[in-house]
Amino acid sequence: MIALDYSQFLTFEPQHHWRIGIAIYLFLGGLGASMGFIAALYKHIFKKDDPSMFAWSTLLGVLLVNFGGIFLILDMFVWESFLHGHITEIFKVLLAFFGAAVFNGNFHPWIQWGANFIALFSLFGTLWALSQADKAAILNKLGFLVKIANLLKPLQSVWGWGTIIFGLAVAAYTGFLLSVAPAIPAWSHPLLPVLFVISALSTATAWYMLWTYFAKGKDEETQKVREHVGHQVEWADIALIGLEILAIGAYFNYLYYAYAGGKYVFHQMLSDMGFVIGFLLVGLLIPWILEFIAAKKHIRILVPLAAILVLFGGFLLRYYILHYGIYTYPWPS
Amino acid sequence: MQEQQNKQLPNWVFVIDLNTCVGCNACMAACAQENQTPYWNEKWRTKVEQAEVGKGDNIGRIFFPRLCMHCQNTPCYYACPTGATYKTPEGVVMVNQDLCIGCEACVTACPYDARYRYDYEDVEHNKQLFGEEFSIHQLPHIDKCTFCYHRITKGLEPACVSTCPTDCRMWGDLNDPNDPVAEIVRSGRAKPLAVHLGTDPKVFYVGLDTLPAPAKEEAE
Repeated sequence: MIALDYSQFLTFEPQHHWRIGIAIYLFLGGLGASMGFIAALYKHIFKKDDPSMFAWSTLLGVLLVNFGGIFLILDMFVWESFLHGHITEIFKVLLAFFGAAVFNGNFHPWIQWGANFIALFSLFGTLWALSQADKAAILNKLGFLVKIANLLKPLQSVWGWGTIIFGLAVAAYTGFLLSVAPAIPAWSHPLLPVLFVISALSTATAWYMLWTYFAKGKDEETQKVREHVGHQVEWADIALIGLEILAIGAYFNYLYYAYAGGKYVFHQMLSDMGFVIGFLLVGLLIPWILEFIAAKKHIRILVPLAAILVLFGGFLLRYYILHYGIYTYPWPS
Repeated sequence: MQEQQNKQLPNWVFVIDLNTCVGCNACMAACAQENQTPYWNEKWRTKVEQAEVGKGDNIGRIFFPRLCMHCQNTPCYYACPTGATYKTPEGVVMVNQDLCIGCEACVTACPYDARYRYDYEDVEHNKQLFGEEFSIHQLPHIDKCTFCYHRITKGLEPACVSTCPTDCRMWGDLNDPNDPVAEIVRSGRAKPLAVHLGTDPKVFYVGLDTLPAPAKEEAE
């Protein structure tokens, strides 16, 4: 008879439940919410006014967040019900999901918080964007929107602050959603929400880099503001990517030292060339260097290139975090 | 008053003796039959893991039965957005099929791989096997072990316990001072899995620390 230590037996098993659809949901959720957050922040904290850029970016942000949400809902029994022709089941799922988010008073699940945050961000973001419709390009050509803008304007700061608060909340929620899986070291990581927020803000600044590079202001004053914002978001993104690199380092450090499952995931992720070259190099380090060169040497053409790579990296980060959602089970196999 | 009522409720515990499991998988078959689980798609409410230990001639096989731990600090319950996952007054973790939307937050939250997707294909196949009228899975949902709640509330054992030929699986009530299975738990000989997660499971294992390894024993 010999003693056999069961603690040496761990089973590592990749999760197959949340895949690319949820990665898209998390990416668009973080990006869209941060687009609204940054726009409202500029208007109400930094007192910069560019109605066209802010209103359109926030409306697009709301659209992206909700479009991403479709992927989460399809991942439930909705798509399956559709394929099997059970249309009433689709309504049951939607009713249960949205009903739960509003009515049942169970505030434990992060999905529920997310549904609430997304609903509130969509509401405040849309109202805030529409309150600027009278000055925003194209929107100001539509008479009824101008009337709505005039109605909403007295409470514009309320809509703006709502957009700031719930935009940040949606971005943070995308990280917290994954944190409730105690057997998945890559997800139940205390730094994940912080990492996702930094990454979300970075992708949103990339969006503003693209906008300020390609879209010129309708008059000199707007163009001046736009250039100023463009210059600031470039430096902001350099700082954000720096922070993201630090957060990634801390993320892997904790993963390696905290638990056996984490060590396994650490080795798996860092031996995946898609993650190392695709995300760490092309999606993080190269755009950081490009942004530095663009800012210091004034080589403007590098700005959109860096921005596109940042967006690409933002998606890959979420894709790989989901992909390496590997369970650590306490039994042999 | 409520406290008095709760005190009278059983505090069920499930004990697995790793020293006596022979890997016959009768528990899996009994569970699949009793609970109409989609065994045809390799989905089980309870499973017996197997692993080879040792090398060369000193080789042996160990068996590790597992099922839902019915955690008292329940990650799946906290992850469920619709209230589909709930706990009975006795602390058994259940799923309400009508409320389940298949978001799989509970599946990812479960640290014991105790949940799986009972999808449309499984529902249809099950209806063909057991008949529309007798199928207990009418809708797609996330499925899991219920400790055979329909049996234990009638004084019966869970199907896997009653079918286990080596009494590796044992069923008891911690509130019964004369229950021999509860005594194993109280003595500290049986331990829960992954204590560091703080899930406070209701399933306990005997032999987690030590286990006879037959092949090595012979070699020695």
